Amino acid sequence: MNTPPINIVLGVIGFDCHSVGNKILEAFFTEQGFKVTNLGVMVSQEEFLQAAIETGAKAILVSSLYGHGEIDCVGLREKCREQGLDDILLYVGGNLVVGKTPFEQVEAKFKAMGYDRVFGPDCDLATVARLLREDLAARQRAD
Amino acid sequence: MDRPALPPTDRAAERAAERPSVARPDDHAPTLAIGLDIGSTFTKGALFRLGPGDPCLLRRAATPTTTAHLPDGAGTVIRHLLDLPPAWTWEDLPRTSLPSSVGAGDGQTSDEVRPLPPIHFTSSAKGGLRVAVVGLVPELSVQIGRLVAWSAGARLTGTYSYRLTDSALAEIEQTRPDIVLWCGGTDGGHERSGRENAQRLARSSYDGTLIYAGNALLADEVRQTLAHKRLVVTANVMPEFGRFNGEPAREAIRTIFLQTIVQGKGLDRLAALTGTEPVPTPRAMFDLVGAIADHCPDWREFIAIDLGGATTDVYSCAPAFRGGEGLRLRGLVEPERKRSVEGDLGLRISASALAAVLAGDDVPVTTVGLPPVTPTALAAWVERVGAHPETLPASPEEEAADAWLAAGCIRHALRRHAGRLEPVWLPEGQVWVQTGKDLRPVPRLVLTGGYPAAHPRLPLFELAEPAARRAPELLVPQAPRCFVDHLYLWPLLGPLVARFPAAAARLAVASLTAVPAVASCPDVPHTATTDKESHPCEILSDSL
Ligand code: B12
Repeated sequence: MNTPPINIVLGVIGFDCHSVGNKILEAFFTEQGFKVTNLGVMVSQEEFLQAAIETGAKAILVSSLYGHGEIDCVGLREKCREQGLDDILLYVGGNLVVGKTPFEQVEAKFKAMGYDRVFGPDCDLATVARLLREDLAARQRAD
Repeated sequence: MDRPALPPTDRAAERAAERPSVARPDDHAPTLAIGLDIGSTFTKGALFRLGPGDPCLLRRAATPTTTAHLPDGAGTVIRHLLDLPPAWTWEDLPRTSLPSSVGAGDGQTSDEVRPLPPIHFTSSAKGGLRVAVVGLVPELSVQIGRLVAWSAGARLTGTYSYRLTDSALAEIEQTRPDIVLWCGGTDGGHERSGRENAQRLARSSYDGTLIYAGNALLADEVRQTLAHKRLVVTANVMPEFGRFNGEPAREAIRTIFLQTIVQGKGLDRLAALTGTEPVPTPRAMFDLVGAIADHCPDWREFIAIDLGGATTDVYSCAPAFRGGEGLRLRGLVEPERKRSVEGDLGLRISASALAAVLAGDDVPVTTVGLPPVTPTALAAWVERVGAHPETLPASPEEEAADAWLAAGCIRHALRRHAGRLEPVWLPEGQVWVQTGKDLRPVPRLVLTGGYPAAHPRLPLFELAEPAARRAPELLVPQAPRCFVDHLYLWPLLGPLVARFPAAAARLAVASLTAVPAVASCPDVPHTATTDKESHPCEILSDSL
């Protein structure tokens, strides 16, 4: 019996309209066998949550390109908990800060906000997909 | 069309023989047809000439609804419409032919035996179709469930999201809706709340019909858990995120209406004798509005508002989102054809609820062309009409109070039906985020209902949304041409859409009267000298 595909939700957070990377991510993860609900650009935290609840998503992949990622992304984990999405995976990627902050610092900052994994603009998507599968499997084992 | 027609089976032939001989719709000859609306207080009917050419109204009749046994009143109306003898009753339907005095001039010779015209009817008796919606996320599956229930002609008794709480269940048990439309989760999506709600509904004492239209993966489990309940499982109303799939659930609601709600009080017997199935009154109106958009070229986009004593219903035919520079849609794309029902906006039974809504308004109680209405006068009027729905205004002040309430219904029903804009500042400048439907460019607006029919010259839309005060963030129509269903025919044409969609739609539009522009309006709404509904049987003898 084939198992139903895993639902993930995708979108560019805040008032960010950079749409090219978002389209690439949708195509990539669909090809990888995920059921992708792509919310497109300018997505609010509430929209991410609503879509994740209805689709029973196991992960939310947040993009931020325009430099306001820190402000836009803070609080999403808390909102997830509040809505009962206790063990949903949160990934974030893109151009997460303005200026020349070293990536390690950026990563630490977003992890402290509750994101499970943090990626820069030139991450390798195949690696991302592999990590996502491993993380999902680990979550399932924990259940 | 290219498959040969199968010969009718014996049983089908038998069933056909039990039916009365009714005229078959004919594309070439004009056809007579009767539309009936069995309402909670009045049963109304009209005889129309439909078919190609100029459809027209021939006669109308109305009588108080015979609530104990609905076909009796319907029979009285049919008898008047068809000039049948006083002793005639609805049970004579199968044995009756059309008297020569009716619909003459259709080319038949007078001694020919003519079958009765088809009779189609709607019913809102027994309080209409009452539905509760249970869903998951309020902005998503719950909203889709509401839109589906409304488009099926329902009135909502409650909406519930996420997990059904004890108090939500108690409310459902107590309000006893005819149907609980239960959705939530895309196919393959959310399961937990659906599973829990199945168990909670299984333990509840609710004994109406449950429609499950949520995550298809749970359907088998739901069937098992609720095996002892009346349950219908249909396709998901939102199979994928944001995608509407309302038709299967709408069809389920229609079938349940026929199988359970129509039973009793004789409607099933009437259906057997007319050979047609009753439709919930608002569903017929929804179908009429759709038929108008389909068949009348200038009417592809319009809004209709049905202003009643208990509710105000808004129907829109218009795309939800038109795009444009600096405009972005947030949330659901609402359907092109949408109905909404406001249970707290009505001129009589809901007058006190309406007054509470209006109390929070920023629009003053005095406005163009109406004598001022003091808050005390308004309060007194609201109390009287709430207790005695048959009350009619007897003074200019009471006229003004009634007009003010009517305008309030329209204002709030439209604002709730339409979407909104919210400004957002981005690094590169300002953009607007839209939620809901953008009805600003909709060119036409129709008012139907007893009140507008009695006051066809009153600029109700202008009173509701004075041009000077129209807020830019409200996506209500900006400058629609307004029309009134002054003969109050739409509820009687609605049931005929099932058989004569184009002719019913054309007649619905042809029977409207335009509301004069504000400048040429009378200062005071003219006093209603006759209450159409106070005559037990009003017979108009000829066409429009
Ligand atoms: C094209 C572009 C625009 C276009 C966008 C058109 C469109 N429809 O998308 C326009 C002209 C509109 C634009 C506007 C702006 N832009 Co611009 N834009 C760019 C540009 C040149 C290319 C972006 C692009 O399409 N890249 C190609 C795609 C494939 O890559 P990507 O978006 O990075 O996505 C990939 C990865 O990041 C990663 N990824 C992304 N998200 C996620 C999430 C996860 C979970 C994972 C694993 C991976 C991942 O995978 C994606 C696919 O490979 C970049 C510079 C650059 N070279 O990146 C600037 C850039 C992104 N823009 C920038 C800025 C500042 C702006 C403006 C604020 C400028 C202004 N002041 O008006 C506005 C913001 C508008 C808004 N509200 O969003 C800055 C952002 C600075 C920062 N973050 O520090 C950049 C980096 C230019 C710069 N060097 O200054 N921009």
